[in-house]
Order: sequence, then C-alpha cells, then structure tokens
Amino acid sequence: MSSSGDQNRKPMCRSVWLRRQRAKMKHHGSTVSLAGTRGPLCQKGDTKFAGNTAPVLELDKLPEDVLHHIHSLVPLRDAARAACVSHRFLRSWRRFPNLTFNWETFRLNLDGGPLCERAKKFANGIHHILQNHSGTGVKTLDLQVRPCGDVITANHLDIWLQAAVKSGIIKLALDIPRIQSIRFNFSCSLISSAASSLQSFSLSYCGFHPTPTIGCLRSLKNVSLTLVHISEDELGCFFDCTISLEKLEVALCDDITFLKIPSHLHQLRILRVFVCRRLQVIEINAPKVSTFLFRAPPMKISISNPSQLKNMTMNGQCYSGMFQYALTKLQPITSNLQTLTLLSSVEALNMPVSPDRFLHLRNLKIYCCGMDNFDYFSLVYFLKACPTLESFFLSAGPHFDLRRDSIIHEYSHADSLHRRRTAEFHQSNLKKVTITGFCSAKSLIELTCLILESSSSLRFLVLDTTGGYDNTGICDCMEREAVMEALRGVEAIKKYIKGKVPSSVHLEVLEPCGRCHIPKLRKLGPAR
Amino acid sequence: MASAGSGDEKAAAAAMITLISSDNEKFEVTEATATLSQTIRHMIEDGCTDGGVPLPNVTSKILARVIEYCKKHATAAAGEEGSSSSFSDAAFLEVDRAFLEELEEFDDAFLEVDRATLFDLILAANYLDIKGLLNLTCQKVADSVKGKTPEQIREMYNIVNDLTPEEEAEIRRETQWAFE
Repeated sequence: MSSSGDQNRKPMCRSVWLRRQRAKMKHHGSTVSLAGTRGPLCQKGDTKFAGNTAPVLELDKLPEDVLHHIHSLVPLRDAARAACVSHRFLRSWRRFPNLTFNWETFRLNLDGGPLCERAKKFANGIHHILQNHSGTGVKTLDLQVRPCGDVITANHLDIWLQAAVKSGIIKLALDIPRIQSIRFNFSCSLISSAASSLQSFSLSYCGFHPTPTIGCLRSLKNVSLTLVHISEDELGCFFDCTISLEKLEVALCDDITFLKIPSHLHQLRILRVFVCRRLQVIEINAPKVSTFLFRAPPMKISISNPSQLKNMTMNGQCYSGMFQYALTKLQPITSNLQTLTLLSSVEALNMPVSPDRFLHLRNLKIYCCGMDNFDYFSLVYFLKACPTLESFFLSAGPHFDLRRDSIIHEYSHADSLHRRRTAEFHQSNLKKVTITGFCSAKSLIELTCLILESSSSLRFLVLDTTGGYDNTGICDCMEREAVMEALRGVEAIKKYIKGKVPSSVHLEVLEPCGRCHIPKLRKLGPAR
Repeated sequence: MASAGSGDEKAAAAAMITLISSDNEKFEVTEATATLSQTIRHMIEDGCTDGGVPLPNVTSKILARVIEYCKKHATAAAGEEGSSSSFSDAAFLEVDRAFLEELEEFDDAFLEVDRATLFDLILAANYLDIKGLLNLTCQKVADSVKGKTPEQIREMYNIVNDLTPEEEAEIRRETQWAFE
C-alpha cells in the first residue's frame, strides 16, 4: 500500500540523516527561543501598549473560557507554572483538562537519582495535582505509571481515579505497575460515572470485572485491554454495554480462550488481537470489521460477514506455519481482502492441491523473520493464488549469517542457473515488486526471475540488499555477516537478474551504504 | 453519487452571503466559506441571512483576515471530500500531502501578525465559532507561554499579579515540580 508511493524516494545514509536531524533540531531550537524573544507576540515595543495611551486587550482580560482554552493548549508542566501568574490562571489550572502523567511530566527521566526515589517523587506529584484539582473539566486522564513498581499502591490509584474520573471525561488510560496486576481491580462504578462521555478507554495490568450494572457506554469508541484479568463472560458483558465501538484491542489477556465479537457492534472497524496465550478461537460477528490485525500462532478464526474485511495482518513472528495457514485456511474470510500482510518465523510450505485464492487482493506483504533455509521459491504459491495483485513486498531478511543456499559459491564458476519449473501462471496487474534483505539464496533468484517472466505489467522492481530502507528511508543497522551477504546479493543480481529485466521495467538496486555498512567489513576478527 | 453531489455543491457554491462588519463594510462570500463559522451556519439554517449578516463585534480589518482564512480552509474541506472517492492511490496521497503542507504554510504566514491583531482574531474566532481558527490562534499564544516563568508571562502580557504573597507562595509550593 504505502510501498507503491515510494517510487521516487531515494534512500539516505544513516549517518547523513542523523547529521541533518541534529542540524534541524538545532535550527528548530533556535527558532523556538527566538519566538520567545523576538517573535511578534512579545516585540520589544509591546510594553508601550501598557501605557495609558493605547489600551490593548491583554491575555488576562480575554473571556474566561477563551483564556482557559489557551491554557489547556499548554503542556501540563508549563501550564502548572502559569498557574502562579494570577487568580484567573489559577482558577483555570484547577480545572485543567489534559492530565497526562508520565516520567517526562516531572522530568524524572533526566534525574539520575535512585529509581525508588524518583518513583516517590512521581507519585507525590500526581497526588498533589489531583488532590488540588477541582475534579471538573477533566477531559483526559492518562496515568502512565508503570515504571513506579510498588511505590504506587492500589489505594493511590483509587484516590486518583475518584478525583478525576467524572462525567465529561473523554479519554481514560491506565498503565499501572505490573506488580499491581494481581492486586488492583478497576472499579465498575467509576466507568459508570463517565458512561455518557467516555470515548476512549485503555487499561493495562489490572483486573476488570464488568457487570451489567455499568449501564450504556454510549460514546465509547476505542477500547484497549492489555494484560487485563477479565473472563470471557465479563468481556461479553462489557461488549453488551457498548454500542458505538470503532476500535478494539485485546492483548495478553490470558483468561480468554474464546473471543467472540458480538453482532450488535455495527461501528466496529478495527480489531486487533495480540498474543492471548490461552486463546483458541476467534469469532467475529460484528458486520463491518474492515481491518483485522492478529498476532499469535495460527488458530480458528471465523467472520460472519467477511465482505467488509479489506485489510488484514497475520503476524506469526516467533511461531511457525503462518504462511501455510494463510494459503489453506483463510479462504472463508478473505473474499474481499485487498491488503494482506503475513509474518512467519518457521515454514515448511507444502503445496496444497488447490490453494485458497485471494480474488481481490491488491497488496501482499510477506515478512520472513530470520528464516535461514527457507525456500523463497515456494512463495510462488501466493502469486498464483492472487490473480489481481498490484504490489508485492517481500522482506527476505534479516540475515545473521552467510546463506548456505547461496547461488554464489566460492569455488564454482558456473553462471548458468538451473531453475526449477512450475506450472505456468500470469500476473497481469502486478506493477511493483519490492524485495528487501535481498540475498544470494538460489531460491530467491529463482523467484525473482519467475516474477520477471510472468508479470507483463511490471513497472518497478526494487531489490534492496540491506535490511530495508522501507519505513524510515534511511539505511538500517547491519552486522558484518549481513553486509557480506548483501554484497553477494548485489553480485547475484548482476549475474542472474539484470540481463532478464525487460526495458519496460525500472530496476532499482540498493546496495549496502558505503559510509555505514562497508567499513564494518574492515573490522578485525573472523566471521562468525 | 458523483453527478448529484457535484450539482449540489455547485448550487451551494453559487449561493452568496453578505457579511457586514462593525464599521459597516460589506463582504460577499460563498456559503461554503461562511459556514466554517458555526454561528453563521446556524443563522443560515434559521433563514435569517437576507439583507446581510451584521457582525457588530468584528471590524472590517479583522473580518477581511477571517474571511481570508475561511476561504483557504473551505477549499481544503472541499478537497478532503473529493479525496474520499475511489482514489486511494499513493499518487493521490502525495497530492493530499502537498496540499496539507501548503495549508500549513498558509497558517504559518497567517499568524505573522502583531499581538493586538492576534487577540482580535481570537475574539472574532470565538464569537463566530470557527473552531479551526480559534485553535490556530490560541495555540500561537499557548506556544508563547511554553518554557516561561510566571514573571515572564506577566511581563509579556502586562498581567497584574492579583495573588497575595501568601497565595502565591502556596501555589508555588504546590507546583514546585514544574519549576525544577
């Protein structure tokens, strides 16, 4: 999807990028400080307005709600200092809406003191602010207190939540110390009190046991539960209380074995399920889920109305068999799928007699997560299964060692490639193919050659021998062995691929960075 | 959808509204531009815009600037609607990004005004209920407060300290962490 937009992007060297970033920061820093001294808001001449000749409306004289609006746009730390300016600022501070507390709020990440001391300071700071807050006007309460360990008790959390969670709150996020996960239960009455206004609700490391008494959470759009102790029945009960859910994340909730998303959630578009260790079955009955992000071993997944599902990620990193699963078990839910992303760490693909077909798939991304001896040529099954593919992305790396299945052997001088044959197929829509972590594995060369021969519509072929300029546009960190393998990849491209690229295809080969990567080769010591 | 939608849009674009500033200057604007103001949108919905909309709290100088902002952002809003059509292409996103950058540049240039004008714009945006403009102008003031001590803020904006020394000492104790 995004890869097709990067056609004209030029990779940038990491060290050059870092230098530019630093220069940018410096420049930015200076403009910020200039705004304080020379900007139009505080011109030297401005003080003359204070005289009685030209009365100018001053900040403190703006209507109370406008002043409060300005104050609320200031970050918490600066806003607290501004509270000492005047009575009106102090009143505004007492109903400051955006209470996001993290290590940075109290500048504790810079402080070198012992962790426990810093945690105490952090807890005290939050305590003071919330105790003195009027309790009205809070829109956001975000307690990112996980690093505090046992300094923060369940009692603290109760007091703070009681002080700030009132009707009117829009966003509530709790990320509490892991040690509390067995001791702290998020109170249902609290969420009831904010039932009509709450739009975003995020819980980490605690117990949550909803009952039907919660009432209707009619504005709730976003829910994220991470490492929350909640049973299947309780989760079902929670879903019953929501009607406008748009985005749901369930991560590391190990009490759940069967995740059932009910059909009354008509607004639910995005569902993310992340490694719930006991989970075995997912049943999606919500009718309009369009994006499904999944990370776990392959399991039984059913969707009652798959026609809306357009975008799917099946992340089987650290697990085995996700590619095989996608080829053989996904058919019932992929009828309208346009973008599919697959990750796997271990695969032994067996060609199914009739692989599932992805009839509307336009973008396919496949990540081979450190598969040493993977037969890349087997990915042909996917190309055959996707007749309308427009863009294909393959991450063949990272490589931690030289490939043993390399086509380039030190002692062999054969330039001819004995390729495997496969039943013919034709790609008539495929426009762009990107392969990162391109190496000298014979099966990868075979795959690339086959794509060139079978895709009449191909316009761009990007072969990136490094870890990938993909996301950041700068070169990735690479170990010495990976750089060596990348150079063999460059050689293999010259020898076996360049000659096969028709004139209608623009070939871009990204080689290791001469500034960041190549010097690693000169480092002493034997290759591992 | 395409034909009916664009027809309606044309009709809406053709409808003109007259805005009258406090110093009696008249400004003709399209309805699409005017309805960025919630206040004016409600007046249009109530059908009381015939003969012009008097805005006794806004001078012609400020109203001209407000209209300049609304015109630019009304086209932006129309562009956003257009982009939700079948194009989901990267090329289209590229156009979108360029457009957003242009809009950002416009906003930056728009804020290059003296403080009195900025405050007048805030008041006008508040009165006319133009969310984007209110946020933009208020953010500029909010940014100027960042990193400042209470004394610097008072000096910058000629604010009289009406806290008693005891009150100030207490609130300073309470917000001690923000001064460290």
